[in-house]
Amino acid sequence: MQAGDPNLPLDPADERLAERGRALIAAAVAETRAPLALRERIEADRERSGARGAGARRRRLRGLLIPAGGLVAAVAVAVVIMVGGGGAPSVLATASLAARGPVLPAPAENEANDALLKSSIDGVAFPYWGPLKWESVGARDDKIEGRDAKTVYYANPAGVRAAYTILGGDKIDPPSDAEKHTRNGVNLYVVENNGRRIVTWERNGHTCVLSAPASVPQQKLLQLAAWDGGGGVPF
Amino acid sequence: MLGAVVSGPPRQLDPAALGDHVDRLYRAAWALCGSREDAEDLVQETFAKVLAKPRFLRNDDDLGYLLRVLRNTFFSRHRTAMRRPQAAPLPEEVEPADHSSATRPDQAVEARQVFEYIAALPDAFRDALVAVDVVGLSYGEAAKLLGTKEATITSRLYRARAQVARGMDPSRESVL
Repeated sequence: MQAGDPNLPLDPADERLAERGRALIAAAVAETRAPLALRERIEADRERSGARGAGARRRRLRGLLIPAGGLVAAVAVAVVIMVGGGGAPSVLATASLAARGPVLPAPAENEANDALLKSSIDGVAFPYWGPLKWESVGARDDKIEGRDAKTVYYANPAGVRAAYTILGGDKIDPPSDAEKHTRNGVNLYVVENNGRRIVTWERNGHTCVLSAPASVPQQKLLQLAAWDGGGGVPF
Repeated sequence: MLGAVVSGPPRQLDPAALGDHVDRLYRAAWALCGSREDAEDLVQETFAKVLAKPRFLRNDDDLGYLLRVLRNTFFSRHRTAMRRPQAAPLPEEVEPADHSSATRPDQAVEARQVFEYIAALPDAFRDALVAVDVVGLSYGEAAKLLGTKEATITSRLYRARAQVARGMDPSRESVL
């Protein structure tokens, strides 16, 4: 086809048209996200495949160990599987929940406190970042190392998404290589991992983890994390 | 990097990390299919294939790998299916897309039209545009994915963008 020849001279008059096309496409891309129902179906598929994988691994382990060690080995394997990893989750493991994407609707604003959303864990509520132009767009609930973890996803007008996770139970230590910053009297720890910038801090004895693509400036993430909504967000 | 043969031990694709790519794959699927309903099916089928067994990659480019599976799935199944006569859903049967960041209703309509025009482009032009403008790959990554030269990607992008703009303004003639 003629149009497939990259050496054909281009009509200079088309340049403005091409630029308009680029802008139209960029706008369409920025405002389009996968529907929640699709995310839920993919998440269900992922959980099913994870369960199948775990079952296969257990069967392989049993097949390997029972002939060699008999009943004692089988009991040992069962104990390992039931106990799992144990201990407290790490900040990076908690941040990895963000990659799973939202499967629940965005929580609504709290009418009684316009700095908070109607979503909380152990009494620690998520902030409402509308004044900062980051709106809640979805949520998810998880268990990590036996603890509850709740994540709310926020998006800015460009469609960039950040995930804010509050971990149930006692606070956990920040990563040892994290950079410490202080904003509004709040100690914030920043680390980068797999192209994402992660901030962790403490609110009411609970660990909070905010993660976003590394393209989001660090100062913006620190501002979001330490935002107190004029006193409406307790720390 | 996409398509690059990188030395080093293979690493297993982490299923828990796939959620980061759903939005971009959905947009790519919509731009390939021209229909939100077909795009949802295509993305779900793509993830089902990837999750069916452990996947091992020799590079860090999860997105490139997923886009490759998406395209293969599209070419092997959906394009054939879409050539069959289909009943168009009535407007009230169509589930609204998630345009939660769109600030005006006409933005959502315009996005749908843009994706429809992209899907209607000749394959080579559409694929270049999807790889770079929709998914966000670099020209080099797109060239490797599509097995062509960066200069070809540049030319196809230019013409494809202009064609989409013309499509949104039917009074103009095609450049392809």
